[in-house]
Amino acid sequence: MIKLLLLVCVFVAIIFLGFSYYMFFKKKENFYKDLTSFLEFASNEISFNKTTISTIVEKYKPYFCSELKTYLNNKFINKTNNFKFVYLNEEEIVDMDEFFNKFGTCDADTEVLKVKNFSVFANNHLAIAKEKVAKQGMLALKLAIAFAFIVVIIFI
Amino acid sequence: MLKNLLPNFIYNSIKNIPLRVLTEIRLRKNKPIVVNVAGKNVFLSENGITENSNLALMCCENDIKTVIQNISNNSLYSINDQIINGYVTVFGGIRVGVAGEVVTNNNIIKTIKNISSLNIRIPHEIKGCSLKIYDYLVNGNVVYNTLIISPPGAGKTTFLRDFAYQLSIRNASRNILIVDERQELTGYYENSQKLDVGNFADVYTNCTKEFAFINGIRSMKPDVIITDEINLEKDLNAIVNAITSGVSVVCSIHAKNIEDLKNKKAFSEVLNKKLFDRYVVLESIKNPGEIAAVYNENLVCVYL
Repeated sequence: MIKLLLLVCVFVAIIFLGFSYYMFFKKKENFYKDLTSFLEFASNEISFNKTTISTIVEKYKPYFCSELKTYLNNKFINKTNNFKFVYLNEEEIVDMDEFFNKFGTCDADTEVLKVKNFSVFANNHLAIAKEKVAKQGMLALKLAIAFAFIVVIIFI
Repeated sequence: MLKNLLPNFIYNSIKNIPLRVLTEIRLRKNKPIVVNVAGKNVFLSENGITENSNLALMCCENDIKTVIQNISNNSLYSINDQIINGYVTVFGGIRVGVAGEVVTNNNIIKTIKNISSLNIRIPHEIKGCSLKIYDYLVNGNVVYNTLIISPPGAGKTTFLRDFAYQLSIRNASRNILIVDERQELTGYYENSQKLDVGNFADVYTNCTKEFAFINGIRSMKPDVIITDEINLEKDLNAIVNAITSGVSVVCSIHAKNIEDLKNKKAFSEVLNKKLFDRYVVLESIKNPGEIAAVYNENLVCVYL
């Protein structure tokens, strides 16, 4: 009975590990999806309404589905810079900070252009993130399931 | 409201000055900070005000940048159209005048860069300040076409704001259209109105008087149009159009007195056509907003 219980635990733990690995890539994908949608929204708001960044962030709040919400909220509404990204690497964090630190310092036309250029960066990373989900993420998940079954079979 | 606008060290000092007497804060790059308190320019010191420039707080480039960042909410593009006109209106009707290096392209002003001076003007609501001469400007249901005359900072806007408010509560059947080009009269900011102009006022902001007069008369059916700081040469047609359409116009103009006004080119046309029924002269010898005189359409003094 104890052996069976232990096997169930090991089975769940292995699948959980695989799923966590998959979710790491999925969350990064969600982040970039969020970023590209936000940039499109911001570009429209700036060119048509010249809305301030804090108002844009407030307006977009219900649609955020990643840590981008906390990052932008801290930066433009609470005006603190204490956010730590979990899913981005150093290079990506530097690029993010570089763009958002200078966001709002130019006239509307230049801002729209800057947003469009940054959208290219975001789209490239979204494509990479999607690919990683499809390849590494799914592979990890499948391997975890297979490995979990193998372990169970071996010990039975 | 000043807390969100000024650098901390300036705000901590400004806190010591009663807001009802504070009318202006002047920030000039690398110069002492000057405040206008009860009509008098004095320096801002750590503990409040001083006449000694050695004790004055100094303003550096970064302080000006901080104010610009605060008024634009870190979104310079959102105020660039206003910067081009030389001022930015922010929350509560506070008007920030901007001076610096003007950037042009094909003779069109694109922006002002290297901002070196800011003039932060704080609006005041003085309920009842127009009541002294209210009966000279309103007769039953008729609101006389009135021109308020005063030099800058003598209380024109405060007077007009209160007049709109008084008109709203005393002649409640009147529809008032406020043409608030610089958002000073109503303190209109990000979709909300901060200063009280009564319950019968419709407000046009951020547009030319010509546009607001023509469209306002067509769409809002006003009985009275109230507007600030007209330019006789530029706005005369719009005013004539409103008055001849049966709408009363109450507006203000920069001039020291009636004699000063007579020197303005377009004023002879105003006088000949007897466009205005009343001329109110405000002065700020003791306090801003003091009523010096009221003249009728023939420039005969009816109140002194």
